[in-house]
Amino acid sequence: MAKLTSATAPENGGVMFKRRTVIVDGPDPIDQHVGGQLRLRRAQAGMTQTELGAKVGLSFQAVQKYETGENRISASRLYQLARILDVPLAYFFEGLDETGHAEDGAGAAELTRKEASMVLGAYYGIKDPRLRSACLLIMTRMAGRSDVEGE
Amino acid sequence: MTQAPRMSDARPEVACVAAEGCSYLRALSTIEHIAGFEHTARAYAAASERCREHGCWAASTAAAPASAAPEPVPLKAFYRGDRPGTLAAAHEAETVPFIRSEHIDIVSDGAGNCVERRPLKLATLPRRGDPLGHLYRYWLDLRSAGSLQFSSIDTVQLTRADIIGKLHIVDVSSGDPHDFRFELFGYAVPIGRYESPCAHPVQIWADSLMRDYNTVRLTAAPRLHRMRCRLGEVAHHYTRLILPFHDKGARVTRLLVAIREERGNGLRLKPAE
Repeated sequence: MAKLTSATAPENGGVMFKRRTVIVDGPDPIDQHVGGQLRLRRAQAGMTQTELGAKVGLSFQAVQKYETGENRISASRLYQLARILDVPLAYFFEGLDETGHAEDGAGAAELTRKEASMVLGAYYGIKDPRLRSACLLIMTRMAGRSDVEGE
Repeated sequence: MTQAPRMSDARPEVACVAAEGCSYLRALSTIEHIAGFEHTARAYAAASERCREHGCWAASTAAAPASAAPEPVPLKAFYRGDRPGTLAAAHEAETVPFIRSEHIDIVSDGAGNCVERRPLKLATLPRRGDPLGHLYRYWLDLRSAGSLQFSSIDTVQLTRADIIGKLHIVDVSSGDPHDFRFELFGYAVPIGRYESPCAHPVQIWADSLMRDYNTVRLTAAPRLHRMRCRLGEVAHHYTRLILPFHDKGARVTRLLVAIREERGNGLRLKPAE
């Protein structure tokens, strides 16, 4: 049965947290979300579980368990994975709301983020700085924003 | 001697279906959903919707030259021919001895339909350059690691095998073969789509499917067949690999059925005079 930890009990002014176990409660939703983001990013990079595991010194089963949320990812491991998959650490928590629940549009948010990165890539692909600022001006005008007028 | 198909031959077609979005992405979404990865399933489904709205994303990224963008284009890795670890080119494929099976099974009915089924040894699958061979080796790896649950499946391995459009997933959790049903039906397979194997109008064909699927369910051992059949006015000729996956209780509940088309598959025949 889940217990309340004394450090976070209400009388201590803390938030009430249950001590979870994977066997009793199943994987934590936040761990599942982080695992889902890891799986999605790995697939986008076209990397198999075995290849990713080899890069961080793990078996493919360990990567599987991370992806299902069955095993929690330590901070150092998450940092390693973020570097290998070329994403910021915050990527793994995108789509989580303030209460730690996954938002419904998590997939759409992912695509929006990717679209944003594509726009950035195209933007910095323009070598001429004047052309770049002209593009920025056009985009901001089109977005109906008058507060950023460029140069 | 068998000849391994070339990479371009083995690649499933990427086609957008107006009503359902991109078939390729939808198939990936279904596989992820069945494997229990709702997060990635939703992301693929959203991407397929995007295809429907803005045209086939997969086709455009495949046709486009390499981008100078620092960030990889989403899902591009699936459609690039030059991705790392891809199937070997035809000239690198090894030759394997072809041994004709003596256990050929031919069934026909009075309506001109005919099913010829030839069991093949799994050892005849080429180690490289063949989608079925790639899939079988991956399945063997999973088995040796003791993780033959469907949730262990890695879709990147399936995309590398270039088998997505020619892949069925069959739910065989029921003991009755009449209750078997397709959870995913390969969109690039030139056979009409049915909810379950027994729903096919040609009875001998339905019986053949149910028998083979049930054999794999009961034995939990993979099977390889060369199928040559005539269903109505269409001739079918393909090699079929059936791989079992089990639940937490080690009971076979799902089958992964992969198909490699052979010469003359989908050929429309003239009706007899």
